[in-house]
Amino acid sequence: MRRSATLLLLSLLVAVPVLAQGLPEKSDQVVQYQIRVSLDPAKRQLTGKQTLTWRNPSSTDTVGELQFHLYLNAFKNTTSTFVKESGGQLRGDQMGKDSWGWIDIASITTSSGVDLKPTLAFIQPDDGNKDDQTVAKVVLPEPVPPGGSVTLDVAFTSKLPQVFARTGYKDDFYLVGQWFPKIGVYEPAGMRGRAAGGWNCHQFHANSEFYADFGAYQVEITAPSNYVIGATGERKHEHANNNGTTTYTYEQADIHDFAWTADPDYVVVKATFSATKDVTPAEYERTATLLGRSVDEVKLSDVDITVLLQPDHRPQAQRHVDSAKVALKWFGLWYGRYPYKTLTVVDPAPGAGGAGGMEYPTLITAGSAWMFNYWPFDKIRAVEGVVIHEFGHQFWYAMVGNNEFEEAWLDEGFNTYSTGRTMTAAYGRDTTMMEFLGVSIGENDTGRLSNSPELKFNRILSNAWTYTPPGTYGFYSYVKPALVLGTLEGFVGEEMMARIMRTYHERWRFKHPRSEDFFALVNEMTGKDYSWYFDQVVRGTDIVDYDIGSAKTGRVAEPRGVFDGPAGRKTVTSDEAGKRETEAAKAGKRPYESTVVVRRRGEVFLPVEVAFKFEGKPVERVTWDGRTRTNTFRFVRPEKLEWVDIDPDRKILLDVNWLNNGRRLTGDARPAASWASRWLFLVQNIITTLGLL
Amino acid sequence: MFAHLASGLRAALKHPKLVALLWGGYLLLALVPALPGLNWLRGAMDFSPAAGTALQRFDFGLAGELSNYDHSNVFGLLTMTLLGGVLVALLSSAFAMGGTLEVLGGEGEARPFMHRFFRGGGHFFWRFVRLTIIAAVCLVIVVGVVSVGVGAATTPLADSEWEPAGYLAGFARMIVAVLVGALFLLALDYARIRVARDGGRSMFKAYVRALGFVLRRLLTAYGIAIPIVVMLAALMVCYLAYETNAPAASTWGAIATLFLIQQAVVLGRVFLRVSLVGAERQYDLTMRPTPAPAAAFVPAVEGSTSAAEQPPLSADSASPQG
Repeated sequence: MRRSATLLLLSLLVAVPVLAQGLPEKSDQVVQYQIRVSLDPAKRQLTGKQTLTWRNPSSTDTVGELQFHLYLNAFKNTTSTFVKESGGQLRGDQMGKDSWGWIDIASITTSSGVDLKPTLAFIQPDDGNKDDQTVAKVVLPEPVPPGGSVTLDVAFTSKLPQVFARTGYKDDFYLVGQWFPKIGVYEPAGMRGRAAGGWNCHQFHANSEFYADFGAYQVEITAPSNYVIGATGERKHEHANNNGTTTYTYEQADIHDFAWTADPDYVVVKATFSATKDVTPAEYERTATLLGRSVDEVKLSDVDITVLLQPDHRPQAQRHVDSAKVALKWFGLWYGRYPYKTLTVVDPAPGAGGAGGMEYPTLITAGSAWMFNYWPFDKIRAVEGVVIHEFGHQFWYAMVGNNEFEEAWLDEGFNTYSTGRTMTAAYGRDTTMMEFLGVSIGENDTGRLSNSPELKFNRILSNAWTYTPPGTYGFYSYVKPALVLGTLEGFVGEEMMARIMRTYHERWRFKHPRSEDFFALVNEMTGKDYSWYFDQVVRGTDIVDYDIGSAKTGRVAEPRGVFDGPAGRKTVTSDEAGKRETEAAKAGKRPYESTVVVRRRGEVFLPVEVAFKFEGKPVERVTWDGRTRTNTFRFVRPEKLEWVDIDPDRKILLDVNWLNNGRRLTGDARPAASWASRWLFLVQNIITTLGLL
Repeated sequence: MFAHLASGLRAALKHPKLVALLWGGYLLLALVPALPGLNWLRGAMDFSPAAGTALQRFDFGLAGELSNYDHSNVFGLLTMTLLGGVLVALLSSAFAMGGTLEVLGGEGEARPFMHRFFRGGGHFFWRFVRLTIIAAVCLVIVVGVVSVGVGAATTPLADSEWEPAGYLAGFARMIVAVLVGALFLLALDYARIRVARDGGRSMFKAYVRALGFVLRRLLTAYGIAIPIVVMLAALMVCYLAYETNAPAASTWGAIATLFLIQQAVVLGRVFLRVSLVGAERQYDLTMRPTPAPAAAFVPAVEGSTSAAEQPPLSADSASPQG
């Protein structure tokens, strides 16, 4: 009895973290920003004053210096680390000629008036590039004790570049991101595996995004009154000034960044996501069952949606709204209620594509084009894809605030995986990306297309700016992680995966997880150690590829030759054996011997199912641990083997090629003929066109 | 204009053997670069259970699997195949056009069709190759210069805040490039028609004269070509409609039907091209007086007769004169 009670207590202790979750409603607010900023469109400049209160989150460390991100200095000149790494080109966009961006700190003082500017110095913790001014530090007159706070007043001027790499202007359009001096993250010992406390404040790189502490923002934006303004958070006040400008006050708590936009041409589309009308009771029920939660736990809340649309994209207003609702619904159901009251979707101006496809807390930028108003381009789900993906970052980035510099996969990869799930739920598995002219493209299709066997020279778990070549950042932080999670889902099952993702979100909502936290959670929830998996596919560089080395099936041959037995030596001639084989075959007693060699071509080993189909029999499956390079399966049975297939359910999305996973014993030329016909037709058309010039 | 067009269509209808020969020839030529692809597809798909989706509609996912199949450089194979196709096409064009013009211009001749086609193809081959090179050089230079000019002229449009203006600018650039490019291709056609009819050794002069001819009669020249291009586009749209709406080619019968329809489309394309050449040739004949015979031609002694001794290979004595 006593032992049983101990076991019960132990099991409760283990179960509590899993079962007694719940959505944290608030972050542990480390920072408080109060910013007053005004836009000068003529100079393309912002003039701002901010009061920043920073609380030392450590319970043991005193902190004597503060570190800040000054992101806009990435665009200051050609010697910045960002420009050196990007070569002035990023995300399909080109840096404007002589369109520099910078941020100057005019003054920085403590609340008691001590001038810190003399102590301000640029530092380069990542690459030692002395010309890079994207990180600065100041020395405090008095260290901040554990749990203590310091308040600084900072006056700054920011010059925006032409839109390039997320932020800037294009004509009258402004997307104002990374625009204010933003304090880095002080990580106490133990946080994200740190041995000792210290600042985490990386330089701005071509391939990396952001990392900041949660807090509350109150921002007053003053801009010419003819501009339509959109921003992170809720608009609390709006005040027309007597100089042709208007001041808007926005507030939002539990966020770690603030962005805003201005454009006199915006068409403002308002909508409401209704937790009762946009989600059916059946969808609540199904989700609750999937997650093993009560319906109340998965209930969502209403959200005000504002779409700031370009006038030429008016016909796409509903597409933007609908896709935002799809995202609010599925991300909310699966991972947890969207906690903010507003969502602003920004449609960047033509020519400002560099500002598109970006996420900020409660504000996302999409990106569309006039042609998507019309057939056949309206069949391409580009608008939906980008809105849903960027919204997804509210969960993987804005709320689960991983360090995007060091572990970009935790937001980009998780979000790519989640975007795929959402698009699949809304539009169908094979038609998530596009469906027209008889061609359908699904999310998995594009992901797997990128999964080349040649991409085996980087680890997912790398600093974002260190992938080689830099262009593979997208694959290792978006695509491969999504395949890693999809493959994991194949192993643990859809239900368990949904519960893992939900719990991970709940546990790390408004916090800063690292990869190990996710790995530990998977082990905890499945009750199995999946380290072997993550070690190979997240920490390792290798690829997954299984194929069939050989497969053959044939009648078992009667023995031939000289045999020694109790009755003496006996010789069986080929003719005699042949005769016996014929008789056995006639009697239906001559079995088939089938031999299949399965191979592991990649270095990564995963347990796989191997399916065998024998003539007239249902498919039979066996599991191979996949560790050895080859494995031979031999069967002697009355039926001949028709085909063999490794991973027949295609659970292992990471496998670089599924076409070599199986083998038919009898060839079927129809698939090749069908495609060959089209291939020949294409070549004929080319030759006919050119040949008759 | 419509009379010439009708005349061209009639000419193509009158020469079914020519259309069939060109189709068959191009089918064989296409097989040369396409065969490696066909073999590769068979190797990848014949024994793979995963290839079964190819029997449904075009499967983008399967295309992705093919791209990674056997860790091979599929895009390299595709590129090489297509480049091979382009090379074969360019080399064969001079021969095909020579044969076509000889057949179209030799109505009423006693020589068998095949004889006329291959004689024409061989006889004009190098001259037509030179013409093609001259036309290509002119086309690239002029279209390049014009495109830069149009690009500069439409830059304000492209940079306009009104987004459709950017598309209009792009469309305008494309249309101008196509129309200017077409001018040089039409001139190439007329130059070949004249060389086939009148003979001549200076291909540069022939091309310049043909260019002048087309420039002086722009509307008619384009007016003859555009309806043919429209019919060609309609043909391709019909094919795409079939591919999109027809049941998936999953049985041998359906695959064979698809193949036959594709070949019918190619046949249609060849027919329209022969029609265009026939119409252009007819227009050229109506616009120019009969040239004086350049020399005598003795077809019985092939290859040993100098050009100077030969009349044009296609004497249009039976054709109406302008």
